Amino acid sequence: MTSQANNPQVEENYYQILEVQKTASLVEIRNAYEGKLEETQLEAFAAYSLLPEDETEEKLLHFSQAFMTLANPIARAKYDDELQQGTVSVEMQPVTKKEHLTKIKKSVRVKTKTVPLPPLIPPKKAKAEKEIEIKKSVIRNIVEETHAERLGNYQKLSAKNELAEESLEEFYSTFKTHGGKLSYNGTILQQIRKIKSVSLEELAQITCIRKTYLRAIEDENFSKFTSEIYLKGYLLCYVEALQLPKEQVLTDYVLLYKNSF
Amino acid sequence: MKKKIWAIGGGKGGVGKSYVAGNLGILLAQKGHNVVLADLDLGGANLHTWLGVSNPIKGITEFIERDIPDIKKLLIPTDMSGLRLISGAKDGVEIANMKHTQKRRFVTALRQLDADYIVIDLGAGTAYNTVDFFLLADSQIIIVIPEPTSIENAYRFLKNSFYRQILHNSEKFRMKSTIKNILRKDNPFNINTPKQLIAYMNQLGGNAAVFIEEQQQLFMPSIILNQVRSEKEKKIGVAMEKACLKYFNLNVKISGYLDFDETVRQSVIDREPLAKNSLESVPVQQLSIICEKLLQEEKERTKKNNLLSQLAL
Repeated sequence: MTSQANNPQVEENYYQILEVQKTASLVEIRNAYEGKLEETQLEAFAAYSLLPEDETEEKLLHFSQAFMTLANPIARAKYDDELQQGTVSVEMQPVTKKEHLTKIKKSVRVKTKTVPLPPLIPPKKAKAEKEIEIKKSVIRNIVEETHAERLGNYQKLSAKNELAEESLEEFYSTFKTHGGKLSYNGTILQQIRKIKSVSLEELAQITCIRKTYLRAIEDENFSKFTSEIYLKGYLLCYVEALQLPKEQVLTDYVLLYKNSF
Repeated sequence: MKKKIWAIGGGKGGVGKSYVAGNLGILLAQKGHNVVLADLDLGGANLHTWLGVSNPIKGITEFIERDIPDIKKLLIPTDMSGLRLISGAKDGVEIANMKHTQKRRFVTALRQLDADYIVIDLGAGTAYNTVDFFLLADSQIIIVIPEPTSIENAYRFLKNSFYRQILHNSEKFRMKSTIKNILRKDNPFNINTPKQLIAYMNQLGGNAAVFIEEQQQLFMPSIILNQVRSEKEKKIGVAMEKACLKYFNLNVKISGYLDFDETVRQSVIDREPLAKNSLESVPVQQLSIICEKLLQEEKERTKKNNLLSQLAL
């Protein structure tokens, strides 16, 4: 009936999935993700009893993956390079690194350019324009700062993820020796986070999700979430940041949520 | 002007069918139309109470059982000019299982009434009875509130209505047994939704494809979203349109929104229809907009049907 139905195989890139510009800021990306969660929630509600549940789940996985990639400065830069080149290959990596460098240099140059030069501005117009110019540069500074900070945060996190591999394995094996099957719940998620020595604050910074929601996930305080879709949307980011098996955590945890009614 | 029948249904009880039907009837009468309100909420009819008509002594049963063969004699005047009522108050379960011919006879009689508009308040449920009256109307209106149960019932109502429509119309195309087979719950074609049915018929091609195309065109109910509490909830209307197209392959249009309003409940308790005295109130203003929209949609439909019949000649 529609053209979309005719070619469902058209792959959208992450920017298209979240409907943001390639130059979108972190705030814009975060808002776009929340917007998508809301949209999914609305669609699922309006199509109640018609929409198969896996379809919603698949959509959420799409959105969260797009969001977590674009919110992660390292992953985003890599993804942008991949996009530009069509596909990735191992040999190309040094080239992409170089491009990356020139990109950074460019952005530095742009930044210095925006510093207003008072003598060049005619006195009458000066006030308003100056104010705009200052506002712009303030915003840019914040973005630059957080960008550097974010880069650091992600590097720290990936180091922590890596370092904790062994102790995590030990943690998992204690379940096996007790003969029980591991089923993810709030307490286990919290234990894993602590094993990785990632604080809630760090996690909040990384995922752009408010600490109260992250804590609610660990406390299984389901009343915090307006719907299952928000819960899943946030949980997916939590899981992604700590590099846990997405599908299993989602299945185990959502079962807890559903049984709580 | 040819008289028009508007039917108000929607599956779930307590979503405001009687409220909308009653007030739309009053608004149409206020526009100078001659209106008959027919209370077909058989078993739960109460429009009379709400309109201040006490305990009607005659109703639809008398007509169906031919005690009163003249439908005009069922008309009960109200204290609003241009508005009369046909009550279903005395009618219970027996009448809720009318034969299709009886229903036809009733609707044919309704069309012969001296009235411009006949507004039918259908009961809750998606039983054949309700669905059949719904399908016999010119404007088919479904009331939904933003709650999962109401939404689910609305889809069930739509699905049953569409199935029922094609079953009724299949005889002309000599396809009754085919359709009957497909509509069986354990049909071998694994068809569970109108969309699958449409796809199957199109695959059959020929007469079947022509038939189903025509039935899709013919089926065009409107939705009114009632008890809307926020802008977010309002978006459910358009989302339902999209869902109907996506999962049923059917065109269902949203015709308007009614905000949740405490005064509505009070008006029902007080038995004071809002459209009667509170013309300036928000609920009545919103109902007026919907009324205009429905009149407009009806005009377009008439135009389209005239054009189609001209082409057929």
